[in-house]
Amino acid sequence: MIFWIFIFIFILSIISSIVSITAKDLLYSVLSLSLLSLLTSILFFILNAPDVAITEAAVGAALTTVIFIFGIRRTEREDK
Amino acid sequence: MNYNLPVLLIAIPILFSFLSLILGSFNKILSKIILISVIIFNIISGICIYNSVLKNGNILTVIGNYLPPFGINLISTYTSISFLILLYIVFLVASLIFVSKNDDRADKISSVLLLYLASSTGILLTGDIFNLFVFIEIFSISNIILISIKDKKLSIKGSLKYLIITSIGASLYLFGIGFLYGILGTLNLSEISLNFDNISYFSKVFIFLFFLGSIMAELEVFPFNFWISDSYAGSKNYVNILLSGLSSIVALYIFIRLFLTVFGYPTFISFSYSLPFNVKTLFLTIFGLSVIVNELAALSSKNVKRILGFSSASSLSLILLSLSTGLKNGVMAAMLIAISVIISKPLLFLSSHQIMKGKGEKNLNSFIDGFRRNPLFSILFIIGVFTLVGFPLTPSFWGKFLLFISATEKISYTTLILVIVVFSITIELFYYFRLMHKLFIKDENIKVEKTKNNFVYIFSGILLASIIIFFSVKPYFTQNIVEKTTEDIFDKSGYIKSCLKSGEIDDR
Amino acid sequence: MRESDFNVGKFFAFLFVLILFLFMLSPLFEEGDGAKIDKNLSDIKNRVSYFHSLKSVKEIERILSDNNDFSKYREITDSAKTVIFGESKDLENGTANLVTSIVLDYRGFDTLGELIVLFISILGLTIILSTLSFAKFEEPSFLQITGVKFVTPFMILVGIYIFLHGHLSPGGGFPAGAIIATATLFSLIGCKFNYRVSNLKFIESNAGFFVILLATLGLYFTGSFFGNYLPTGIVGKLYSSSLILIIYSLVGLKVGAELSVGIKTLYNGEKDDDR
Repeated sequence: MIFWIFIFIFILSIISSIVSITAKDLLYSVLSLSLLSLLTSILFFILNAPDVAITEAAVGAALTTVIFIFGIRRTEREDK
Repeated sequence: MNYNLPVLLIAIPILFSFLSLILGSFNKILSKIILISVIIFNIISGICIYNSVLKNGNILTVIGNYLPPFGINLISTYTSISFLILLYIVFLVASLIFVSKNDDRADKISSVLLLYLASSTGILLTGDIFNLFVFIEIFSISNIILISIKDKKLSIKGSLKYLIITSIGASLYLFGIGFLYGILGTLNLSEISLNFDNISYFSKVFIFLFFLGSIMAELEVFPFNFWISDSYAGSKNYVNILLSGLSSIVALYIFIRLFLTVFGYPTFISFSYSLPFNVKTLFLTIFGLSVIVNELAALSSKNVKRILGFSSASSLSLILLSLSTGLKNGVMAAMLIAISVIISKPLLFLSSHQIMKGKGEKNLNSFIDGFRRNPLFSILFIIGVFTLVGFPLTPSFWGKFLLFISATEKISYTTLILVIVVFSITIELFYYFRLMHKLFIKDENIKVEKTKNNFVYIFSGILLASIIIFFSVKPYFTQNIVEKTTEDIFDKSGYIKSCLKSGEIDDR
Repeated sequence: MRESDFNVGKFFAFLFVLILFLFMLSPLFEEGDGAKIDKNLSDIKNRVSYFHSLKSVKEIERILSDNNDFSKYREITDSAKTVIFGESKDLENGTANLVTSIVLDYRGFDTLGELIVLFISILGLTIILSTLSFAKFEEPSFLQITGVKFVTPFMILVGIYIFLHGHLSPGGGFPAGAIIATATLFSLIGCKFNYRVSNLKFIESNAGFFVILLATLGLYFTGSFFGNYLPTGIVGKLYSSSLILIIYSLVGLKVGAELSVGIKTLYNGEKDDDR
């Protein structure tokens, strides 16, 4: 069971990282990056590292996304 | 002497950087006073540690009450402590210039400068590879901030370039640490250098190249030198002094610690590496190429700050070239050139800034008629140029002389070194003499006004020039220092013994 | 031609990276052991801690004063006793969470460095952005205001819980600070709670000051920086390992205040505030 969850999270994280690179709209790219770090934090939790998982969820999924969005507000939303 | 004094060199600046923000909110002058007094404290205690190291040998400072290799430790060797005193002198000059100017953000910037001081001290003293990484991170972030404070587009661009290159370097370094910790199970530098020979072929190459790639960015070496052009030209005067003087000391020390003490194997007169490929040839190719490219870039630029920046990068590469010959003479030459570069580069930045004062564009042409405008700083500029280029009797002259001698010993790539050195010296002579010639061109039509020099500038210029003159007039003093430093660099087993007190080291 | 465009340099950089890459690949095509640990190192005794079974400074000073013979102390003696929750007293650092004891006790100096990395980056943010002016966000809707007023106190409570229990359960100062900062972000966007940057900076620099002061007091009590000098108490209780508890609380406050300053500065600049 845990193996298939692992595979599912792996595939999902690879897809989200590809989306974050290729997306023309920077907002989508940032959101998929945040999804990526959420998935990574689940991976850390399965691998018995709850400390790292909490930090990754709090910093990677919440705060960096907000900072990126503030940055996008100051500049342009579309990638050239 | 208390064996915990070295840790105070790091702790006191950090403590007062917080205090500078708290007190600076009431009055900006307080934070300036804090900055200067902390530097003076560091200089005095640095000299105390120097004397103690001279008497008793290396000093081990334990942090967190866990002896190495369990906890973190600091080791003050002769090399690190003498580099540290040089660094503090350059830092004193830069911070005096900062203090003499009015700035709205003085409390914040002095706090950044104090953290800069703490991190560079930490890099020089630490004996732990991850702790080194943390201090490198603080060091590069404070460099980024200091470059960007001029509020021009060029400075922001320069700091962004620097940010990108150092973050790539830092991530490579972290990969290297991960590999090393996975294989050896330790982060202590002495323990790593004791066991590095035992790990397998594949991992050795991987770790070595990761660290090499990461240190390249910090070293201003050629493929990663594109940040120099904007970050030197777009930053303030005291930041230029810090970048050229301090960064080169720090980068040089990291190179010596990692690639000579940890990965290298010192025999009686030369270093050897137990790696599958020829490390020395790799180093010589990279650094030789870097000397040539940086000199050519300096020759082709028009902006004076850019010329000086590229020239400092090329002299740093020359030092690394002579270090990586691995011979005793080569290392001595590197130390001699390092002394002259570290002191003369800040002097050149300082005096060129004063000569070009009041001119709009900082081009070559703003040097015209500089001697009549500002005779004192023109003379100081000429002293700096002579020291850098290797005028006879200066330390740099003896360094280049020793490099020639070491090149003519039995090595296969001697001719390559000779060609590079001759090449670099001629190009350097060309662009510096072009600048010096511009100083004496008289334009009779325009009436010249003498520029008023700030007292701080005069003091720091004369301080640096007198240090250079002292080093060149007293050759035996210089020789003594350089020989002791070289001995210390070659003394790997002494380094390990001073850290792991009961370790057995088989000297090859 | 502009001076900054140095295209030859880019070409050479690419070439250099290629050469390094080839160097990295070269071991694959030669015979060797691969990325294995050597035989000498597979035994754990030959890796770390072979040379030392002593950890405390005072202990080694005592032995040095007796005789200079370290050879007796070479072997790793199995000195670890069984630890029982709620009963074992006066352990090395008294934390129930292993990660915390490594992060704050064995490698406390590194954590101090990481704290300063965060501090200096927020300081740089305020230095660079202090001259810019910012456009305002749009007004929050009714739903946002109600939701934020409901959620924010609980988030702050969770943050405080996490840093107070840093030595017992996973978490600690850094994630707790991030959670507190997220709560302040919510209150900023949702109900326009306009906190002052200068007050937060005061908290931040005071917390950093006290962390270093507590670490420096170790010089007086134990003879080394960051030494643990307060009583460690009983494992598993809230009031155990006092120094770690105090330092983690300060770290949580500091990180929370710092990140809130960063968010506020990015949100509408420093201009709303006096300084």
